[in-house]
Amino acid sequence: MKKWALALAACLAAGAFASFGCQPQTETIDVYLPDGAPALGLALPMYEDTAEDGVEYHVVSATTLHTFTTGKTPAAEVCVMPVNAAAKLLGDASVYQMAGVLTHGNLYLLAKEDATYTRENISDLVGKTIGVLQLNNVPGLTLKACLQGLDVPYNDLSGGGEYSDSAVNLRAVPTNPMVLTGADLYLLPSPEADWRVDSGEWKFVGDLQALYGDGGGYPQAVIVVKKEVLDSRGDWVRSLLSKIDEGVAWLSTAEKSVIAGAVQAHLADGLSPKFTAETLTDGAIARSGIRLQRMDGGAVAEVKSFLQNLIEVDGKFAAMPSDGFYWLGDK
Amino acid sequence: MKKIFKNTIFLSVCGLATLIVAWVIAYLAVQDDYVLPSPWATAQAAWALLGKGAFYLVLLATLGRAFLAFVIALVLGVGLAVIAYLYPSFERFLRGIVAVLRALPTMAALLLILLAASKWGVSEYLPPVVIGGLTLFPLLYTAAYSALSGVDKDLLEMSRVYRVPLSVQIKRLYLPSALPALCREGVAALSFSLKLIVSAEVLAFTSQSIGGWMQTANLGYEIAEMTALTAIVCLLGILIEVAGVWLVKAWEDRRCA
Repeated sequence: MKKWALALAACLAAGAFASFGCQPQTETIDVYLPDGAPALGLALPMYEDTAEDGVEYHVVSATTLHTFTTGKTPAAEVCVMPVNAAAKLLGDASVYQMAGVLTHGNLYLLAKEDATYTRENISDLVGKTIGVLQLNNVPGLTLKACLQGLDVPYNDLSGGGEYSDSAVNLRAVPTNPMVLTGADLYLLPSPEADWRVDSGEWKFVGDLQALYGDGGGYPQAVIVVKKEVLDSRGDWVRSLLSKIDEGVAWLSTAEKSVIAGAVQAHLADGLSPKFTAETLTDGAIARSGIRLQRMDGGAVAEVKSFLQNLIEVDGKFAAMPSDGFYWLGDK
Repeated sequence: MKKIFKNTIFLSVCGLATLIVAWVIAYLAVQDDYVLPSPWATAQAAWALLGKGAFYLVLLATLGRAFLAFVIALVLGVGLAVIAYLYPSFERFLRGIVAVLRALPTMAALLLILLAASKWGVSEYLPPVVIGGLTLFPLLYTAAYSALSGVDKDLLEMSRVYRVPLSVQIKRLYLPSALPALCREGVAALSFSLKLIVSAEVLAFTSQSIGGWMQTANLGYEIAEMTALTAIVCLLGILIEVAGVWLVKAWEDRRCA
């Protein structure tokens, strides 16, 4: 009896080891991105996503997005994140490289008054207070870079400063929820800005993309990919970038419910969507600044120039990545 | 040796040391400075903060708001408790209101207050103070009412029989009975007020505030700085509580002497 029991145990053990060894090794590619404009940029890949394609998309909170790219074993093979975060956290190129720029600015000045602020009359903002979403991230740093470039003084109230009537006062607004309180104007991203304007109380009074540089915008959200994925699945990365390209045109023809549904199907548990089929308009999509730019000489120079401007504003919140951070392999 | 294990300070320090050890273990397990920084990185960040003049201004502003919320809640709480003690019908009237305020979800109420502040152009510094006061009021009202209700009924009866003047009753009977308990609750409430105000400032992104600085650090991926600010607020809360308890005890000892 004892011999039979031992033999049975040995067979079971062998079977377990064999089945373990024979299990197909699934290599799922996890793509992490925040809601809003970046999610719209990847809406087509998410719409066409299937359970068998080996790719999983995760639309997560922008606040915790970076945690999927840091640490000893980062969860994200691909991540869409703010350019300054990518440069600061991943710029040593030890794990990730930048494969493309997804959005080129989607920030707009809103006010209740009728006004238009351009590079010519931006000094009219002196003495006013602008509420900025993410004052110490790309939105706020870009606004500061614009004002600095146009020789308009600004006063950051978040650092303990007092209101000044000889500078443009900048106040941080809460990220969640976005309560508009205590400022004359607000710098908000599309599609949230569009929703506010559509509600009737607010008006577009300025375009940050037009205020910065030559009006072509600035690199805002970038796509970073793990180097091991670029090395072993370079073709897949190229196909993803092509699909994103295709998706830009698709956004203007697809039903809003389909676009919103594609994003919401990949929302992290418990996360409220930034837009719905009702709040997503053609204007909101157009103002989201979605335009894929692959990393070539021109794109690298643009990213470096933008990061340099941010560093000059506040070196604490931006950094210059190493030259090896840019993936020029999309040929 | 046995004495040391009964020593309160020694045991409390051991408790804090256990927390730090748990922190180190968690840090080694997570292995991600952008999720959980190490205690030494946090200490470095705290040291850097303590070297900035602006930090002290911001800290004073937050402490000022915490103190203001506490004072408002204390005055209202004690005042209404006295009226409730004297007029039982009023106490029954207040019972429902206090229950609602005690059950009020603090952060949800803050959102409503922020919307109202925006609508009426009220200073953004006010909402955290209002939410602090609303949350502390039921605690202090209940403590004051319980303290008053706990005065010895036999002594009260004796005061009435011997027609002791009200001022003497208050000075010799009510205050000595009620004040110690109220002071102990008040100290805890003051420490709690700091925590409430900072939480509200984080959500409201109040400028010139510790909470606002925490949000800024978080957005700038300066997690060590955010943790350092959190640790500093914790330490301050502990100091306030320890100092308060010590003052109350010293006052009680002096009174007994």
